[in-house]
Amino acid sequence: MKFKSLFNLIIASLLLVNCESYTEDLNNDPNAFIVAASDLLIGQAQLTFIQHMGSNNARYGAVFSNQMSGGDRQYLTLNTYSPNRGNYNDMWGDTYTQGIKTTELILNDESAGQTIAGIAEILQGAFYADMATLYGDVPYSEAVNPEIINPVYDSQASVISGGISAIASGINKVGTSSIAAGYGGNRLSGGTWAEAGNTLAARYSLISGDYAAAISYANNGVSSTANDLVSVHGTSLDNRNLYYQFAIDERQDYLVATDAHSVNLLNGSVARALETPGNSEVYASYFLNDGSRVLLNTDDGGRFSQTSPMKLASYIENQLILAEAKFKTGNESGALEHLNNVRADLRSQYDSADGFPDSDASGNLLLKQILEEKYLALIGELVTFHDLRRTRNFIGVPNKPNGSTGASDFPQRFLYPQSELDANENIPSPLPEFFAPTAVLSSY
Amino acid sequence: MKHLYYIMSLFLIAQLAFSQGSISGNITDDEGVPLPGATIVVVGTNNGTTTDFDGNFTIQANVGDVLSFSYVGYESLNQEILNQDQLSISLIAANELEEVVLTALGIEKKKDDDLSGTSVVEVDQLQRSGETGVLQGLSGKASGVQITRNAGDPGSGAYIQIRGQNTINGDNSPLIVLDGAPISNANIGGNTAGVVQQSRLNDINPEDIESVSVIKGAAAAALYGTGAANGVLVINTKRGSKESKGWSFNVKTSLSVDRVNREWAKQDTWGQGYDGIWYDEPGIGYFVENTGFSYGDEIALRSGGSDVYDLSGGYFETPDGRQIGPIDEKNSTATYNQENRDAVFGDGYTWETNASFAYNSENSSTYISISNLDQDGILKGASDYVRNTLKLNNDTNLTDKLKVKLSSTYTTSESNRIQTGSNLNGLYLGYLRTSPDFDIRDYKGTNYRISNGVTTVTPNSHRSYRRATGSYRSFDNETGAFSYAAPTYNNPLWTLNEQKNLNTVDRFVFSPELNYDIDDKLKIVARYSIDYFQDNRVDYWPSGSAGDGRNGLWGEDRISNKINNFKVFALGNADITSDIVVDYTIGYQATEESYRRLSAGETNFTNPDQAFLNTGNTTSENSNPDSYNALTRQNGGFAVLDFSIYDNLLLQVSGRAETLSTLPGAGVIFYPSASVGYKITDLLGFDAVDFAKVRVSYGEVGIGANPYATSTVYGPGGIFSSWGDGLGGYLYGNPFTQSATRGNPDLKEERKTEFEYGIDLRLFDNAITLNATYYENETADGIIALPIPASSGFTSTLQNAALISNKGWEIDVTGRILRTQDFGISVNANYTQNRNLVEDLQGSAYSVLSGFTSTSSGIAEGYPFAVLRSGVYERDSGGNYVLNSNGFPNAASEKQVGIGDPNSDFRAGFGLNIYYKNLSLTSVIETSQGNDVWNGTYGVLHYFGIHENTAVKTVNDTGGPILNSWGTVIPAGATFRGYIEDFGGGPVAVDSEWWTTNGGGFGDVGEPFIMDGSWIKMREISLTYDFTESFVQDLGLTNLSLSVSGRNLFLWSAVDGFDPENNLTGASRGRGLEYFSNPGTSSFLTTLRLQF
Repeated sequence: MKFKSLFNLIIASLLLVNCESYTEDLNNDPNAFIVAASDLLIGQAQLTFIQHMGSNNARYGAVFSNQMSGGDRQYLTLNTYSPNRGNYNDMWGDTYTQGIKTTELILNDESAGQTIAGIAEILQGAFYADMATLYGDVPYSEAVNPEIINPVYDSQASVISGGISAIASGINKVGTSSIAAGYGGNRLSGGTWAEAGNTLAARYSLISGDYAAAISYANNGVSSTANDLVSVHGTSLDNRNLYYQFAIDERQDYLVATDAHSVNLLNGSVARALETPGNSEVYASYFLNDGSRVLLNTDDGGRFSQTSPMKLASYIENQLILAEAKFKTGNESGALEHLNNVRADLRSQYDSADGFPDSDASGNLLLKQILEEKYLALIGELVTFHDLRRTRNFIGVPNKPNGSTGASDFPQRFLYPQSELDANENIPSPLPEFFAPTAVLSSY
Repeated sequence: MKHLYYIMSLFLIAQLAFSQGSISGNITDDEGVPLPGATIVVVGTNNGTTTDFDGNFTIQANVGDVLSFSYVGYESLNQEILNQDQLSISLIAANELEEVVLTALGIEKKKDDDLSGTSVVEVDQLQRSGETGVLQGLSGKASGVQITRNAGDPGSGAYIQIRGQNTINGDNSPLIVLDGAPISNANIGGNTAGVVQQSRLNDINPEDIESVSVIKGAAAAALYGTGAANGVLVINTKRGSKESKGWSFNVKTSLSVDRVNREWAKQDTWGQGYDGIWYDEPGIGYFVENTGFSYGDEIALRSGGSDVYDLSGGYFETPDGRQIGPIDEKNSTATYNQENRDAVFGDGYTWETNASFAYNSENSSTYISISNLDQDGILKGASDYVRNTLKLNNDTNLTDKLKVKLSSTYTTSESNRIQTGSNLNGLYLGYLRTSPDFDIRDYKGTNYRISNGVTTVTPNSHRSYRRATGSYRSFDNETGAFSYAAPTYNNPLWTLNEQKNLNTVDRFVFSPELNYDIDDKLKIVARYSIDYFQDNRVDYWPSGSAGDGRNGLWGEDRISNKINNFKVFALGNADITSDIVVDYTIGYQATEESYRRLSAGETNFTNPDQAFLNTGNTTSENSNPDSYNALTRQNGGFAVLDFSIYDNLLLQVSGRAETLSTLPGAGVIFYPSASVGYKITDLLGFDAVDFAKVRVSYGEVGIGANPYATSTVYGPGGIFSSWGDGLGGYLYGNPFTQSATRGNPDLKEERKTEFEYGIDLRLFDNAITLNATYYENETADGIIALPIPASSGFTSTLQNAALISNKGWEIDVTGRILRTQDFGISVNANYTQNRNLVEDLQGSAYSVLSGFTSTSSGIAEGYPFAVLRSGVYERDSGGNYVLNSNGFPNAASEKQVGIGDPNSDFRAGFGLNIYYKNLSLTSVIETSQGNDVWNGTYGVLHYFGIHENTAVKTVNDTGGPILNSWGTVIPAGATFRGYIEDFGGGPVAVDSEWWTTNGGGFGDVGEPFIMDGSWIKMREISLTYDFTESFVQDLGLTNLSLSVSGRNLFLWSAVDGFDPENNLTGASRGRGLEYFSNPGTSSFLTTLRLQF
């Protein structure tokens, strides 16, 4: 049986070849790492913080707040307040996966030092509080937990207050560490983490209507314009100012300021609540005229030049938080003092002795002056969108389509993204409307 | 015994009589039609001849010699010379009777004995199309096979799909086995932007191919286990001469003229600018320089004469010295659509030359070929493809038992490619959007910029309709670098002539094989093969290009891929009883694939004044290296048993057990299959039925995971918005981040199980053949990056979560209508219907395969694979539009899945072959019906006011004022640019305001742009003349033929502007997307073939 013996031989030789050892231990990715120290991760959380405050969130906020205008393609549609959940996928996803999760990895790292843990807490608190301010109820208590695929949504109020507590806890850990020494690297610059953290805590306290807490935090907030927490930019393709990248490198003509309310206030076609001869200088630093269009000033020296820092927590915001909170708690003279601190700062910024005279207003005119000053001093900052909503459009910004100035005539929230709707069974139902105010921002 | 002696004596006498004699004869087919050019060889000698035009021959031969008669397409016949002086030989047509298929191991098997729906595409069918790629040549030739082209660019790749899509994460190409060697058909790249990619199967010279078997079913492919779930293409190349001994030499040369096969129509009545309604004057637009829109004034109403420039602030100077400044007064009524078109498109030419040499001797046969393909595309610029191939096949019998078989191929190709798609540097994007009153031909010159009396000069200035005075630069003293102001979109001629996208590929496949016959019932085959390619890609965008190329961009990718394969198997047969015979195969296979990519990229050129294709032209922070390596292995044993029981019952069982390096958690994976067939010819007992067989099979095959999918990893961070702005981690201290995809150590293989039922018939003396197959398959445990809420910290997690099914029909029919000596007609047809369904995604709603945020092709539970999702208009419960206060529909906030299905309802091919004397005509028509496509280009051309539909002027004849979508009032009797429509709330004015928002391509609604992409194509038509024998012989040749062919000459499709057979994202899983992709082509070919 020649055939049979050969058959046996082949079987035997096959068995000799150890099939499994040939394929074992080859699936360890040579292109990636499986460990990374917290010292390396904190930088990603900081970049995400810059992106959250200065990229598409801020641009959408600026268009909805009529500080800027959609000028081309998808941004023209945005200008009509057309709702499109798909557009929020990345904005939501980046903050959760790159911001909140990255800080969570640091907070879960037992070997991480006090300073780095404190910075992570401040950033995570700000991420949570801002996400809740933008979207309403958002995942918090069960978010970024590897054990939980579908985190539940927590109430907007609990997320904002949780965020503020986290910032407060972080402030206690960072001591007097400066931004530069505190892992800011070439990403962030400013005074100390404690100052920046206090201004952030004050911002979200104001948003939640807790004026006393806002005053208390702001008293320890950013102490001067030189100490503003800002992003750092360069001239390479991928480290330029994000507005510059959007307006020049990536999406020319999409984002302009033609017919924007900010432009109309600064060029005098709409009167300001507080007489300001220096408007033209402010205008020139933010905007450029191009025939019939108004563009963002991306030239060197402009607010949106490639190397211009983007403000993340500033002295001016801090002073105007104090001004508004004191006004709301009945301290009009205190409010006036802080508004005039800002006017003094503007005089020095624009090197203009007469351009920004002090105010002596009172009552609702004073409040309007404070809020309008903030609307113009923080052009392009995401917080403006929050301010308009929580003040029920007190300063009367006309909406884009027909100029109406009602309290809810512009989008009242960012839409839960399509990706979350597709995947998370815990998303609120029914889905809130684009023009329905969020709970906290309409509670006071 | 006496009788025998008597007979032998007679032979002896006869032999004496005919010794050194000659014998004549005549060869005909089974119907008595003479066969000219049939070969007659005295077996065992070099002595041979061929029949003349009437089938007659004379040959020197002796009594007792054996003559071998052969003719292509007929069964060969051996006959000993007895005592005849005249032989009448009748050969039986073999093309139906002896049709063979290749099994998964590359071994020939009679189609009558095959139990799968395998299709064979013969060499002449492949070559007739003159396609430069093997895949494209398969179009319409076999049922169950879908070929989709990436574009008409030279050397462009194609996508092949057999029996529907079934994997989301794994390789979606069939396994390609070339002369027994598994080879790569990688399509590296292929996205919504970039250049049109090649398929690595393009490296094979179609002229070298002998036959391609398309193995569609799981049972037939089960021998290959993991990796065979998309079917197997078994390609065998030519080996040796067709003559039994001696040599032959073949030359083929062809010239093809290519043209764009479908173009967009652009309006030429309204100029660049804004529509007046934005400035309160309905209908009267005005000229605005540099805007993207063509909503300006009516060109014919301009004053005429030349445009007046303001040269005070600077100007663009053309190479011939004309100065173009910002336009002060737009007077010219000239339009340039035709001139611009002619500057972009021209005739493409493809020259192809093949020479092959085949030699047979007693113990060896050799095939050598060399080919050159030189293709210059239809785009006037750097769009070309040059491919050279060299092939050597040799079979040598070292001893009676030991045979060495060597197959080897070397291919080198060079190609210049063109940027396409959703890409500010893309050809079509800039070309189609260009306003009709802008002349693109002055695209490059010198920019002079005058500021405060100082003139700055920018050489190589790039001028487009978005920057009519050209790009210019300034030198930043702080950074020591140039900074450019560039056009928003490229001038298409800049894309074609100034940007470089070079690609060179070197590839070899080398596969030696040893065959050892232990005895006449058992042999052992050992094969080794290596398939190696090096694919180098260089991109160069000069400073002044649009988008990311503003300050210059250079990049180089060096990709290498190597597949090592070793396989040993034993083939034997045994008689179990006299009526039960078994063929068996048992073997072992080990495969290793190694992929390496090393890349470098630079932006912000230090010295932008010269095309510099290397590193070292920027500062370190703008220079980025990148690399990726992957090594995977797979090995296992397999066995096949083929039983033939009482001749008519066929039974096959097979199994494969293997392990994969990419699935360490899956252990040993086993794939079984079983097939049974019964030849029912005798049972039926009809005279008309020559052959009938029914067959059923069941099989399992698999798909592995991508390498390294089992772990969650960390890597360098950085963050970018979907709009492109962002912060590169490499510029910010290189912080780290955790992957957004969660790895899964428990991943196992995707497993496809299939039932297949078929019938094979031949009727009326083989005049009609029919092969029909019905199949149902299911791929379970499909690996998917299951989207999970980002709030969990990950955006996706890899899971064995998908269940995808395909079921369908494949029918191939051939019919011989007429066959006489001088005239014949035959037809063939194939029909394919596949129904695909994503049955289960474990709760995940939708996941994108490719496309855009607005419209994409993806997968969703309860929908076919690659289903389209897009924004839609909001509707009430009655299906009516929900209108805004101006009477226009609102966008729904949620996108709708299933707004279109890119899968065909059915596909069919129809072939016709006619010959008359020496002239033959063949044609193939192919169709796809019911496939939807998202025509993104159409929507965007509306947005810009450049589509011809937007060039309409309408008088408001409704008797009252009407509103446009912005709410602007158009008074009764007023004329506006647009038309009146009623969305359900009374008449409204559709005009630029609607097209630039939710009625156009950049709005939130893609619904109006989903279209039926059904098409019918005259795939090929070819007329061949075989020169007469006397003429050919006078030239010292054996054969000479000349053919004229047309390819894709006619296209019938309702879809606007493009060839719906193309796909923006190339050979990716996402289908049915069109967005400014480079056009398809149609071609005229002339081919001359010589044989001597």
